[in-house]
Amino acid sequence: MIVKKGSFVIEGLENVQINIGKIGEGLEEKIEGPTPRPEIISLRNWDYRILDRYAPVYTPTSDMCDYCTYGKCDLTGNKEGACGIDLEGQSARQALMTSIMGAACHTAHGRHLLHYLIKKYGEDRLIDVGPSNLKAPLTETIMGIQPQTIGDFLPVLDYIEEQLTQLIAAANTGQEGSARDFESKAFHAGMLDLLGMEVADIIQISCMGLPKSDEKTPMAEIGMGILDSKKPVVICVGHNIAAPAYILDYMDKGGLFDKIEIAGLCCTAHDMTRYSKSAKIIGSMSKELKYIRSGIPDVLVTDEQCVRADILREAKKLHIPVIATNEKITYGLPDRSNDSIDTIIDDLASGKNEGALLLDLEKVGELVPRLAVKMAEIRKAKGITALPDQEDFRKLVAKCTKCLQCTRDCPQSLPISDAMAAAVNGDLAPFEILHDKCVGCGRCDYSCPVGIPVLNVIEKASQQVIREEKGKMRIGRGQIGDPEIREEGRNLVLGTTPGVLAFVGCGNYPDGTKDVYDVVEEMIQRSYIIITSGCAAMDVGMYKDKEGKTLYERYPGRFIKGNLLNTGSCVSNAHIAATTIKVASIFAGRKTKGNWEEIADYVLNRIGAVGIAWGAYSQKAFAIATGCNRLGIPVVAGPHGTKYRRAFIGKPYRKEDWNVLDGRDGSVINVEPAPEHLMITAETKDELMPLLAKLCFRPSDNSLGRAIKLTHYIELSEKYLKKMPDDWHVYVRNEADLPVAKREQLLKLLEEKGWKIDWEKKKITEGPLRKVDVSFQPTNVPRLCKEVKK
Amino acid sequence: MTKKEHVKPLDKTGTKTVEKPVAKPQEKPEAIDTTRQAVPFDTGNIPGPKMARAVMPAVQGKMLAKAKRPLLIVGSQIHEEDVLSRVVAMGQTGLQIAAVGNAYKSLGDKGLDVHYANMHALASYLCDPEWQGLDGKGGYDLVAFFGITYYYASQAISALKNFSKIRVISIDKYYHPNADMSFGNLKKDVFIAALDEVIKELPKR
Amino acid sequence: MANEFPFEISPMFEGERVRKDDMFVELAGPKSRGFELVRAAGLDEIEDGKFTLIGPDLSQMQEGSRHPYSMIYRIAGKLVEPDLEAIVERRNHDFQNYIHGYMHLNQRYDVWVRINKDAIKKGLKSFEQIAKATMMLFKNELPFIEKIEATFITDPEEVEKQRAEAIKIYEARDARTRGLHDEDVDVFYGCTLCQSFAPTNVCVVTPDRISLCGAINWFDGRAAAKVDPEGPQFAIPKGEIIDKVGGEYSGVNEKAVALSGGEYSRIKIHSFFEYPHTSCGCFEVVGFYIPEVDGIGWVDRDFSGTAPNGLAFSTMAGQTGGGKQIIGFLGVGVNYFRSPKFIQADGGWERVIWMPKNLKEKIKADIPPELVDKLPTEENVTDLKTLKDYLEKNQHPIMQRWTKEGAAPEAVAPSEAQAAPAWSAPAMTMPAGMPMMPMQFGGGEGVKLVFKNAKITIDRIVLKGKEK
Repeated sequence: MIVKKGSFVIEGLENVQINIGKIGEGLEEKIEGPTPRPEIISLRNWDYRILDRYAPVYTPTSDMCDYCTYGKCDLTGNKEGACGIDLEGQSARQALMTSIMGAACHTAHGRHLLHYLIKKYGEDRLIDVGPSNLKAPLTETIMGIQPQTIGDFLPVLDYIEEQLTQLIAAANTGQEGSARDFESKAFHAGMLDLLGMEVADIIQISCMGLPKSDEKTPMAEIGMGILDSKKPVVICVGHNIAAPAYILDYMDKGGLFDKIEIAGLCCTAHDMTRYSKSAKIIGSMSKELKYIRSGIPDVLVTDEQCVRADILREAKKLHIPVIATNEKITYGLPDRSNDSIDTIIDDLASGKNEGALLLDLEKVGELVPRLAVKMAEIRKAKGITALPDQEDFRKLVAKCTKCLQCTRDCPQSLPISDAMAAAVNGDLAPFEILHDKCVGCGRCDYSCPVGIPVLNVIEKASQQVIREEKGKMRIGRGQIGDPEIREEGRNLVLGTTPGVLAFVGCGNYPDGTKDVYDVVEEMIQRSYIIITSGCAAMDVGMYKDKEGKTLYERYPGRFIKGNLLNTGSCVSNAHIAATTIKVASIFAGRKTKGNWEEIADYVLNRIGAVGIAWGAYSQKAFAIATGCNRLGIPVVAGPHGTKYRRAFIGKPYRKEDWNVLDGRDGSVINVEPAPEHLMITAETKDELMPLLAKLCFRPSDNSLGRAIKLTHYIELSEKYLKKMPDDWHVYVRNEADLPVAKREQLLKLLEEKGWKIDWEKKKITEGPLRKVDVSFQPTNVPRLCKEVKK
Repeated sequence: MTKKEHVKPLDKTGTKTVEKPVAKPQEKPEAIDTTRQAVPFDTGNIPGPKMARAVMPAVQGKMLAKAKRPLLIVGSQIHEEDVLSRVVAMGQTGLQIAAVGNAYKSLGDKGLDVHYANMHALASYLCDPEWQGLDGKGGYDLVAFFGITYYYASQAISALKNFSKIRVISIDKYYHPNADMSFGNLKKDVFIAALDEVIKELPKR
Repeated sequence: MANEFPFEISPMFEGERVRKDDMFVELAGPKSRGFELVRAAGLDEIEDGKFTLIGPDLSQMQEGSRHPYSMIYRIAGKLVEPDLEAIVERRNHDFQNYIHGYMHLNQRYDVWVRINKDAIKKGLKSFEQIAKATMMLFKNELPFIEKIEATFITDPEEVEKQRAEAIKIYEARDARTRGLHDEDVDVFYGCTLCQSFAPTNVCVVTPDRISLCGAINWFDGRAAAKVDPEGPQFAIPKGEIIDKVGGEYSGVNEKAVALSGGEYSRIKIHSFFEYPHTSCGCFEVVGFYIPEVDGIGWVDRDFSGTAPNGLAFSTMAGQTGGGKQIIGFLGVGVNYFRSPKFIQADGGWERVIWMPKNLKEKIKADIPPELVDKLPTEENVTDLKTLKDYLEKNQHPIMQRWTKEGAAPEAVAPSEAQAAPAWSAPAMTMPAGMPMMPMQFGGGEGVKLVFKNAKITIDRIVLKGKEK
């Protein structure tokens, strides 16, 4: 008998036992789109569609390539180097490397967590993210599967890791030669990054009791001024909650929260507060060095990502032991995972060792609080801080020779010597202003030729404001649930919500942290939905209004117009992108499984959402932005974003770039540039706000939506740049698109531009690029158009 | 505070002898020297072997005057009166101005040929030989700039340096390595004087 | 742009609140009296832009004082008719809130207004300015208003007098709305506003069926179609009645094909099972068919538990919506429960056999009184077995369907099955196109399964032993 694959009829079943493995909640599970588990070039055509319209713009930081031993090659003027790559190719290659690094960070974080959680809870532990039909939208869209258990994510991580290895290989010297294809690969890495983040956050939400699409999470305290420094203080730095969770559990069991202060820096802080309401937050990454130098921490616990490379040295000076808990950051410390807690504590307290690598996380949980108590006794007695006292401070500021070297080394070019001069005269205000803009990098210490420890001086001068740095942040909620999206649908359609703005990313702001607060405040009053994550989520919560309320206290956290949501740590960014996938599924019934191109096409043409990484500094941020770009979501970075070397900027003056197809019959429609760019930067927040309003336009806007969006675009431009935008009229398709409060005046202005107006009916008869047709189905993908027999 | 073996800064700090900018009545040298301190203001901002030539203000001014279609780009750091008045003076000679960042706030009501632009987008358009300029009347053959956040300008013009044929001159207070020509790092009063010398070369209207 | 008013007008001020400490005056509201009213009039009866004030003006009022307040607008135009009054009137709230420093709450005779001290400082001194701004907005948005004039009243006696009149007018309007049914009109209205997100969804808005999102009723549709007949809201002439009970009309069907991009060609607006009305995604409630009892359950968006079929709102909602006709699930707005024609093609309220308690409380007034206690919620029933038991115990009319169609689950289980302590899987005759529901039984002893029409997919077969 030859048994082949195929269909059979079973005529009888005798003595058969059928074991049913999973009975899923979902109904049918089948691949719905053409690209489940896309390989490197599976989505290349989609990438080309984006790249054709939003051409990569390269702003190299270096005109040379020093990748291989042929170099260094001078590529100035876009010459070719020894291997044949030109500056465009090299810049694109760097975009790829950056995206890969970011993707690897989040995926490795996810892998580490999954490994640990499966050991603790088993592969069959069910996923639980809150009320949602698409529980893991990115996983479904990319992999084509709907995961039910955490074990279902194992093949997902396998897939990402395989793809990343292929991509890294493509970045070796002598691989890809086309800048365009490097960018396509970078898109691929960015997409993998979103997937890795989703895995990491979903599994920790499901297993560790983190909030599940919860709009009413409590507030966490945040700021350098919130801890009682008289108590022992534990500070956790990094992104991975595995170790801090044990510490929190131990403290909880022992009722230690009153006796010991525990707070986090950076994303670890987000996830600690999501895990335990008793955890606190010092702040974003830029507070790291400042906080250590203050001398307040008694123990530093590191895990992974965004941790300073010199933490060990800085901590040692202040007798702060460092406990490293993740193999990615080991600082040359001895691995003491197998030693007894008591011995380790003795060695650290006595100063015999400056730190320990401890990979047994359960041990970490008990060791750290006990160590903190011990160290506090010793350290408080010595009153250890890096900051100078009054006397020294005066001497130090007087030493400044105004050579400006510190300013020249400062990422924000801060006017430090001016502040020094003022301080000599007893005026600390310039230092206080400077302190908010200072990102705490410490380069100024190295630059001073007369040995002033500049950062310490800044901090000492700002003691007053630091004590007042106390904010509130709504604890990260995780995903955005389906019912909220459905309810908000009405506002999105009726235009009462002009757009969704996501303030994410790091703290390398060009002009201080107040920028994000100011921009969020302005936009939220205009009823935009504001979603935050990561360092930005923290900084938004640091300022108060006249009544002492932070933005989180003033505005609720539902996915609805004029609300402020915090998804959580950097891996929670995945949920922001995932929300756009949910919209496509919920409102348009688009199939998602293995159907990236169609979903991204829908998002690009219909969903008015923009990401803002105002202080982006890391490779991770770039990878996230690139992944969002592949999904059709534009991103704006602050001016430092030009150092990412590549942007995606549209050319509104090239009409041929702005053709879309009407999905109803495949006809070509020339549309207004919406969104005008996919990735761009702005110099100041004045410029940022009208830009955000403009980037929320989409070709499918109905008139209600367009009128509201135009209102804000025009008003923001007038308010912050003192001018009407030069291109407002481009977005007017008919009179109903005009903001209702200014309709008459705008019609007059259009007439001045040469448009024809029927004043009796108040209608535009000639001038717009195209008519409004709300049934118009914009798409960039020909195969999605219906065949129409002509 | 420990640090690595501290390196004395390069001795181009002739500025050490110049004291705080208190008014010095006799300070009006016949020719200010803008070619000194021609090192990137951001210490690490060394792009490669080709860096801007440091020149005197008259050279910059003549270049602007000779250009067929020059464009002046100014950014978010031009709002102080002493700088702003010089921007306006340049604009009044007919020089077309691209106001990037939030510069337009101070320039929109001065009767100048001034247009808002996003710096990053502008850099990208300038690299497109088919772009017809901010007023639709054609591309530019010379771009001059100052008053933009230092690293932002530096990055943006690296696009022009490497991917376009447009000449870029910096008349900024800081040395910009990615321009074709630039001043060195200047003190404020020298910078203002330098701008005045540039303006002297521009055609009167 | 120059502004003729001393205040800014923008949707960004919609949500602003004026607190007691910041208010210059309070007008109408819970501690005073007032109303707002729009009346249609003839073109020759109105002087465009005219403003009349009866009583003290703003500049004559004391800071911190409270006054009665009414706003009466008269509109005229070729297309203006009394049915449009309510639509225009509703906009007074929206538009006045656009005015910076002016807060307008509620509607009709509940209106409550406060004016901020800052607005006065910036130059607001007369109600005329408010009225002119509002009238400008009315005309801008609703060009069928060719002429409009406003009369504001702050004199207490006059407010009282006219308020009594106004209330009569509101009552008459409400009676008309209640008394107007599908059969009374020739024209329905379609709405395609959400096609920007849901490309194939069209709402057919009739007197007995408000739009899914609740924003557009038949009168709204009528007004919008007058503003822009080619816009997203447009008239649908009924045409011939094809099915009176189900609500199918030839005119509607024609439009359906065109606007859904051919997605479907027939709509029965009051049917659950046949050619049901589509939904976009923002529906508040989803109905689901439970074949075991041949009834329809309903679950609302805010319910976080699972329905007796084991599914949660989000999962079931994911099966419908997206502008597609799916049999077995139906998305509706809460308003549809109030319709006298509520799923009348399928038995109306007698077909409804479960809903969450909160939803039931919300619409209790609309449930036929004799059915209220027979309708279980999550407090009475948690799965299909307890559901069936409850319905039987309470003699729910749905039982008539069981005996009639001989589809009572127990009887159908074929004789091969032994007496089963747990559920047997019933052989169900489902309407065509019905997706398979997950079965509510688990493994364990004593369970016998009978498969009919099953499809088994085997990932791998391992052959052991003899030659292959």
